[in-house]
Amino acid sequence: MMSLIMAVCMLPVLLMLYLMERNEATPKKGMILGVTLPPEGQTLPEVQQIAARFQRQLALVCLGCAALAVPVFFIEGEMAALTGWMVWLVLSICLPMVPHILANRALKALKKARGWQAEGAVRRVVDTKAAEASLPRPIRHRMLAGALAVCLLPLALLFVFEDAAMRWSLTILCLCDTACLLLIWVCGRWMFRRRADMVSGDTALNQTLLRVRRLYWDRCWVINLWAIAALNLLIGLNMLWPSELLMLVIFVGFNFFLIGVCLWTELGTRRAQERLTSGVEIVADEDDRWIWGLFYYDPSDRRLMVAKRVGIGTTMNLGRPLGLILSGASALLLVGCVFIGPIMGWYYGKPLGLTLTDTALVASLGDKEKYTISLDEITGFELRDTLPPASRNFGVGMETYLQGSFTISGEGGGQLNLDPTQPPFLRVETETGTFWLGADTGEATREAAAALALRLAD
Amino acid sequence: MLFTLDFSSPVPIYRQIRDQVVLAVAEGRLLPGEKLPAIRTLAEDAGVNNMTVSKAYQLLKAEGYLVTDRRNGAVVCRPSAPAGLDETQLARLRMLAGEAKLAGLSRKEFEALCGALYHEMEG
Repeated sequence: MMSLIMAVCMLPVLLMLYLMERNEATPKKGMILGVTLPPEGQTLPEVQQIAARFQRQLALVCLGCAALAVPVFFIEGEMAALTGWMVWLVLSICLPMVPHILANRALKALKKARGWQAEGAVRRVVDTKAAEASLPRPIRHRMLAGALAVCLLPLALLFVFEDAAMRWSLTILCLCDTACLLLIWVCGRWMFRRRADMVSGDTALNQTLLRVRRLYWDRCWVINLWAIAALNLLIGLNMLWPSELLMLVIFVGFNFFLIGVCLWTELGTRRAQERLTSGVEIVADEDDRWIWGLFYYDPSDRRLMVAKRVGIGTTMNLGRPLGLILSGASALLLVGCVFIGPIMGWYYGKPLGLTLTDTALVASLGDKEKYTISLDEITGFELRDTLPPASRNFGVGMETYLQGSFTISGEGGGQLNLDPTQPPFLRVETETGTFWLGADTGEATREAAAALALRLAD
Repeated sequence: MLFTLDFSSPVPIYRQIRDQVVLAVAEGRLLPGEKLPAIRTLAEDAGVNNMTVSKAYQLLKAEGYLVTDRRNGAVVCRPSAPAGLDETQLARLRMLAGEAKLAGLSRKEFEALCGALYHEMEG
């Protein structure tokens, strides 16, 4: 099941990367694959050949990545499959860059050979009037307030839920998503104010280009803001009427929706840039400052973040120490995804414990106590051979370990700390709620239940 | 207005900004009353320190090419009483004439070049 979800969520990412990379071969703002060329150079047969070779290589690499997903799909074991998918994701992000780098180097060499190279000077051209006809900053306060209201709407369910764990889950969920909305608001507004588009000596053209980029930028962040608010509302409603399948559909749909929005805004901006700058003589040649056309490096530039030359994206200036550190951290984070599976496998693979102390029943994972239930609070307990269908509200939901707040079919809310593959399970009722617990083996759970019965009988 | 800043040039950036504003005023690309961007905006767009732009604006203000106030920001103006070239400018012109001579230009060629450039300023 997990492999199916991963495949459905991750394969579209590869398609998105392919479409965006392929689009780099189309001239925009005088550039092909990150190399600025004069209008007559863009139609040269040599340039066309390099672009066509790039598209062939890119298609091959992406097809190879898609083919690699097939064996990954059949990896046995939840954590091994997760690791396989993460390795696949890192490869799918990095490998399509190789044809780009090769084509960029070939075009730069051709540019130099033809004498189109800008004289070694590090020049920066600024059109002071480019931002004059621009749009106001995105995500106005009213827009944020509306999204926050929708996001926090599920908090009304606090008056409906009686189970303390459900109330906690709901509160934490709403707070996390509110933090996400505020982060989007801050990032959207902060990164909006970047260098104005500078392509030609025609100020009207520069103004139009900047206006288009900012328009799509605004759309992208506003849609993201509302999408997260709506997602939170749907999750809240799902807690009221739990359905594991519906939740899955919501998350997969959200993933598709965000990929669609990214493609629409990025390719929309690029299409406008392509049409507006077709045949225009470019005065701002910054190729020397873009490593392989992908990474910005200019120590003389004080800005930490700069706008990418095509599309709506931004990137770090590697010429600044902080930019280098942040980019390195991002790269480490990406590669670190590969270790999520092994780390989770190690952490959640520890033995489950169910022990009695003088005053309490303690459910643990390894050395860490998960639930400590006072014996005085226990109103009843029983051993059950089967676990009713349970949908997770908050916590861990793995094939061999369930922990946290769950909605249990026919019972309502409850706390779980067990391995669903190791029956029986100890169901404990207390004054504050229900717990479903398990030890490392079925035998150990039975022993703990017998000990609990003796203690309560005393 | 387009600013082209050359970071590999020995001429300091603030001086390049100043020179380009003066040239734009002389050529009529910047008209008296026109606003220049705020210091912070230009610094951010050019990727330079605020102090660099501030220094250029202060120099332009001292030379009478710019007036600044809180409401309008930096506004272009022509020096109110043109009084010919001052000592510094004369020294620069002398240096330029010397460099032209050493570069092999004859007096007539130098005069013709100066005339053509001056003509460009007049539009």
